[in-house]
Amino acid sequence: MGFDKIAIMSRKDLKEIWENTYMRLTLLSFPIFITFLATLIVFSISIENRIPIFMYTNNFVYNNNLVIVAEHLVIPYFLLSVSLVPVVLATHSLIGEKYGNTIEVLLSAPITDRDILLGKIIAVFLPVTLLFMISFLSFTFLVDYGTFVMNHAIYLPDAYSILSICITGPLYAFLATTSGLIISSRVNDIKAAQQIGSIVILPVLGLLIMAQYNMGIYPMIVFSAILFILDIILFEIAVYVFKREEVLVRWSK
Amino acid sequence: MIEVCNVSKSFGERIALNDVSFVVKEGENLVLLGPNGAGKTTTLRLLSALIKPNSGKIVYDDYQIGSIESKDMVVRKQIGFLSENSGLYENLTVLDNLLFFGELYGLDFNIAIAKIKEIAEKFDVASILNTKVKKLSKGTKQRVSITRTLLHSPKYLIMDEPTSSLDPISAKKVRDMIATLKKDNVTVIMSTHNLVEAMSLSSRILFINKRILVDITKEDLDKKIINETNRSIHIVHSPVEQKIEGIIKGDDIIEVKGINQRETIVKIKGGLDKNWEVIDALSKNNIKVYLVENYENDLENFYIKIFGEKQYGV
Repeated sequence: MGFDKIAIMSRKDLKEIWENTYMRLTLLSFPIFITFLATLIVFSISIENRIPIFMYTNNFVYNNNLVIVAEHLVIPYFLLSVSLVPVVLATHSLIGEKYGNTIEVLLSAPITDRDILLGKIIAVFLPVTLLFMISFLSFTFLVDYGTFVMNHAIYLPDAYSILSICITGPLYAFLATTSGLIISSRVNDIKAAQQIGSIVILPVLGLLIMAQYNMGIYPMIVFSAILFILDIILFEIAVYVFKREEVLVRWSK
Repeated sequence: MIEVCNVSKSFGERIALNDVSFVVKEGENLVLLGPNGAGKTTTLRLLSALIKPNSGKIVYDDYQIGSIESKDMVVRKQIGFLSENSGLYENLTVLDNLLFFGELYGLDFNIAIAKIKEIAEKFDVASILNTKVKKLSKGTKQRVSITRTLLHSPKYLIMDEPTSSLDPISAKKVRDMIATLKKDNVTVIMSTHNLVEAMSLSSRILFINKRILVDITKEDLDKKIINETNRSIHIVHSPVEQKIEGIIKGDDIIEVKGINQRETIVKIKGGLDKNWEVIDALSKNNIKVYLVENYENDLENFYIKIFGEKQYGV
């Protein structure tokens, strides 16, 4: 594995993402939207002192701060953004090489399939994860500011959110990016690839439902461990299914 | 040196190349000529290690490509590949593009920058280094692409129809660029549909259609064309009744066509020595020759003879 080649590939892709208005908008709009949506949800729940009715079922609400409860409720929204954005960017990154007629020249260069894929994954994974973390930090700051003004207290972040944002989120971003690349190496149409890629958000929807019953820190650790294993398996699958000749011949106009 | 030995390549049931063998010597300028779907692009992709043959082998300086990935990378570093399209990233600047490929081919950042400046000056793209590729014309993009392929000083330059879809002036500029590579002893392998381009840039031409039909050096092709191209001799003769057929051997004449009472066009068979004999005989009989021209397009005619007229509907 050539780390220098991976870095060169990532740098080029990062520049391309940033120079493309559509991709830049995709990258920035989701975290901003989620930050404000999550803040709004937390405040509306806390101020009105109302939480979804099913949360009473496990006696959870009587033992916890309402702000924390509300925060756990919105974390899956952050995970949703960190799983959707990479699919859009990753599919565009690889199939964009076809539409830009650059794939043939890229594949003729002295760089291995593994390095190309890893370079492309990092170029998507890094900005998405970084913005995802900034987005969560902004949310935390807004909520803490609000609770400090109202109650002279700061509640966020807690261990659950730190685990979700620092471990689960990046693992999910990697999974979504790799999935996007696998799909786009088999499909040669951006829209089709993005539609198929949206399947990766299904587990997040599961998380959304589980969050209603307040999934604790241990299930989240298990979930993260599963994601980690899936990341490794999916990356190896991505390398395996990325066949230069097939990509070139199937994508030839 | 590149050796292509009994290479066959199919895509599903479609045969792209069938048992093709040839050798490319160092410093040679090899041009692949053939109709659409003849296997030119496939040959170039095989030579660039982009695809693998179904059978046969391609050997670069004693190394058979496709055997060991790390050695394939070494071979790839020696190749500059130019696809039919420019292969440049439209949203990036020319400098970003050149830097990306320079570094990908193993150049250190500072060396890459120095090399970019040097080659950009040489090929007149220095003024557009900070311009985004999408703002450039097709011709300029192609010049940038050639600059890109030369950054790492490749031993072999493989180009797939480098001037297709370019206007005549841009095409000439690109041809001039390619011509300058001869001085640097770069081995050039390219495909083209342009017969004039093939003649001006090649030292050897492969006429290919799934297999090699003719493998000929430019020198031999020149001789062949000179000797086989039929010509028209425009003559002025007096008296009117003078029989041309009596002066020129009947076997040499294709057609005699009178323009008016004193002027005639005689179409004679090719062979420059034979043509001189005819002109000499006419002069001795006080018949003035005022124009000799090829009455059929030389290389084009040769091309059609090789590939057959049926597929062109001629």
